[in-house]
Amino acid sequence: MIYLDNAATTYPKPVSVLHTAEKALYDYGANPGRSGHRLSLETSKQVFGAREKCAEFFGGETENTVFTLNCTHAINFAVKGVCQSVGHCHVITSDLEHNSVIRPLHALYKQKRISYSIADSGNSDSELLASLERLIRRDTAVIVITAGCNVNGRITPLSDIAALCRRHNICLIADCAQAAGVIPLSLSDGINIICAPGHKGLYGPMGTGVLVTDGKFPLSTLIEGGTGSASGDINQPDFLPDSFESGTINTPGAIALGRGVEFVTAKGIDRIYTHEMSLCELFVKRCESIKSIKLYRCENAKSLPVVSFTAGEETSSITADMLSQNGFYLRGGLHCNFLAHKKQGTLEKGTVRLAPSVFNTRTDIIKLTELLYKKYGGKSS
Amino acid sequence: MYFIVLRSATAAEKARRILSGYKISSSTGKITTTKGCRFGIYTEYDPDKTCRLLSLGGLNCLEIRNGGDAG
Repeated sequence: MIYLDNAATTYPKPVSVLHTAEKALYDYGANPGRSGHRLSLETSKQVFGAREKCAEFFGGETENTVFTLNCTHAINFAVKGVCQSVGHCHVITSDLEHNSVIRPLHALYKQKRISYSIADSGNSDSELLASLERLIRRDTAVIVITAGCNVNGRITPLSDIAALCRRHNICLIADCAQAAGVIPLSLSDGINIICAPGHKGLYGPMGTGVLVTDGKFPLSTLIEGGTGSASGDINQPDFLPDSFESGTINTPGAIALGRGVEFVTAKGIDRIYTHEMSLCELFVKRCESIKSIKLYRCENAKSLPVVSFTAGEETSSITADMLSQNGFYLRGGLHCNFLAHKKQGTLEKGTVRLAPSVFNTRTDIIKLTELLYKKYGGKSS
Repeated sequence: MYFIVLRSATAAEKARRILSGYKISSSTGKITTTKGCRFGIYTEYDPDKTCRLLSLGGLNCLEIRNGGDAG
């Protein structure tokens, strides 16, 4: 089995993450931040350690780092939290966005709580920036944009977008679903709120994610309940992280996510990016001789290690099925991102997505392309 | 022994780390009051000085309790 679906979730996880999750289930079984007995306090300490690592990783404060169930939850908390706090406002996003961004926006629009515009990303950073700037209005309160597209890998110029937001006092929310752990991302770049999954490039378990805010834009809560703090007050606590962590968090997941962040930090983001990009480049190079393989990449912008492709007239699900039957696990379809597929003209058939992780090797790519040669013709090198 | 009330378990753990940086011994804990459960730290160090150090680290002491009232 060769797993190349790491943009959906990374697999396998580092051994250190597995061991930490297991140890958390065995040794830190009490509810953190609730009781005052020794086991609960020890569990709180472990969760704090993981929170501290995530905060440091994204250049945030420990208290301003909220554990969520995944990136989608974090984006919903951020977008709806800011919009609810501001009142009716205008939001800008781009045509590269995952449904985790566009669906919450559209839901808010249908409830008449916001209006929103979609910037045309064109084919270069300058076109995207110009489009975003053109759409800014007096009531624009938020720009929410991906750090890197999950379909074609295109990286957006977040520092430049942050500068634009600062000039207009707009909150910048970054969807870092595909980029976290692969390229450097920090609040120090001017991003106001970073939303990231724990289970992709940070190598944590599924069911984990983080929201890291610089605290400049107030966030209203979406979920209220028990936090273990200020329990005598009928009002939801107004301080982070408690205000956004009602109910028991995924404790073993959070503790293991801390270990995942440690793993990424020790490996080095630059090394991870270089390794995964070299595998993508190898795939692209070896596909050159297969006439029926069409690749979808943005040539004029930096890219994440993700390559989308189609084979002849086949729908992507047929190609992905064939690969699966031969032991290669890649994702076909629309990747929960109809906007990006619409833009590149693959809405009907979808694409197959190659997404390597730090654990994939050149041999994996060579074996995959050998199969593609066999099925679709092409020269083995 | 004093109990310094902070606003959450996260703040209590952060306080413990800050004080440890000053070589001040403390442990996290929880007490129950009429205002509900409150997390904080136990310490034998001067509570006013402790709170000043914690405020440098961005933490507000909500209340200082001592002796038998410390939980």
